Amino acid sequence: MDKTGKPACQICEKGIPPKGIQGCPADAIKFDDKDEYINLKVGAVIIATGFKPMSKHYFKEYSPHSPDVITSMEFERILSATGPTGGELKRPSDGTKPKTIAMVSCVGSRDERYHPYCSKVCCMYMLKHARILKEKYPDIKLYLFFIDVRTAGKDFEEFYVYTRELGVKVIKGGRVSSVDVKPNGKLRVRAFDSDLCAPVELDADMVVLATAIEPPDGVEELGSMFTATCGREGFLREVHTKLYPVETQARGVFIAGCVQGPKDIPESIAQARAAASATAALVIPGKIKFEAIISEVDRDKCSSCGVCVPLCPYTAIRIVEYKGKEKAYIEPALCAGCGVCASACPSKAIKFNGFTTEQIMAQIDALTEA
Amino acid sequence: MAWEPRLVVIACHWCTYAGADLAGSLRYSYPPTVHIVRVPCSGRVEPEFIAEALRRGADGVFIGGCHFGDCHYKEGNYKAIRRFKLLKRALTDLGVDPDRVQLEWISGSEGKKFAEAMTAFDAKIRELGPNPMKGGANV
Repeated sequence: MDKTGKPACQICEKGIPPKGIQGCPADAIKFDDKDEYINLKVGAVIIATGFKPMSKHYFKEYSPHSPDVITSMEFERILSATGPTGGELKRPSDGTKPKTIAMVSCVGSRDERYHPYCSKVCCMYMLKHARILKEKYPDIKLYLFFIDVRTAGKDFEEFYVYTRELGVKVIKGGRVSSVDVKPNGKLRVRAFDSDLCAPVELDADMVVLATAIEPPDGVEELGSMFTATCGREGFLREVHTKLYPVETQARGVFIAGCVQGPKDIPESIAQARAAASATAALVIPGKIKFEAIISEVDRDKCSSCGVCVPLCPYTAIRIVEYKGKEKAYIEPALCAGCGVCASACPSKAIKFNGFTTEQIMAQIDALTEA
Repeated sequence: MAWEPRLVVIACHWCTYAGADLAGSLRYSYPPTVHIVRVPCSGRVEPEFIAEALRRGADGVFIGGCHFGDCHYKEGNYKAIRRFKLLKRALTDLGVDPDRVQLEWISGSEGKKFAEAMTAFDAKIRELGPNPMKGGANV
């Protein structure tokens, strides 16, 4: 109700009595259900918190204070049949139907000031919006401003060619330099057209900004709860781009979708299924193979100082009772074999398997054998 | 048979060992006299490792770590260089040519640098000649 500004239709609850349509005949919906916290003990977690579209308010040069300058996400709602205008195209400022619409790509993406990366989906959804508009309102004038059009993907180039054939104007070149509000309420868009090799100006009724895909709020805190790390751009980092694309540094924690980086829906689904398979492969056998190179506590030597517990980046160390005393215990399934605890242990009670002094010495001895 | 040097390279897992791996994938060649021991960090290298290698007759010992600021354990390489400088002094006092040991920062992307460093180290040890401690020394 809040999102669309309309009351819920309540068909599933009350049905449509005049037409003789009942509510859910299977009584499958709980209408009085409430939010609650449920504690679960699980063997694996998939983080798929998605993304956040960048706010338009960062871009003072694009007159974000004007109600007619909107983001693509807002535009998507205007086009939607369940949206605030019921699917009718209206200018947010005065409710009139716009005749000219400018769409601006790479707002915040591929921009050193904000995000150096490409948000990947904007080119395609701008073309989608253009196509929907052109098919619904053939007389509307559409100008799409791109740095360059990136349509890599199955059938995407065909979509682009088709959209251009509908009469959508594509202007390639540099970034749009400014959007200014004119006294008559129109928006003046200034850009550079590299095909004309000249600056261009356009009076539009509405400007749609394709703002960047950003990591969701709090993803870093969420990641650190699971000891998963974020990359430079703030997206959760996979262990390896090609070999471990859904695994994180934390064992048993997987990622899928835009929380890992900008991607479109087919890619998100593919990654989600990969994450589900990886999770199943971990959980279903009911057994876990430990790595050979992990640390181990000699609990008879442990002085119970607890130095190692906060040091472990994988939260693998716990204090557990042993022979009536509290001693450190390393969970072998969580240990990633970094060796931090072994180097910190003042009692030398932690053995880092594979790199003990004896083992390294034995290697040196073997290599120096005459 | 002519004398061939025997070099022990103690390489940190995160940088130099990865660099050695990359040198291989990129098909850079380096001398077969190089024998690599992997350690988790250059900070893991105890002076005893180097002393033991030299005592056992290694002609040169090379320590490879991450560049400053790149250490996987944040400061292991700082610890390594402090220890290494002290060790070099101690080796000089013991009458060992300190040029037989070398510390170098080679990152995981520097496969070429690894191969070049190995070639240079091999050439240097060849110039210095065999380790006089070889075949039994009382250290």
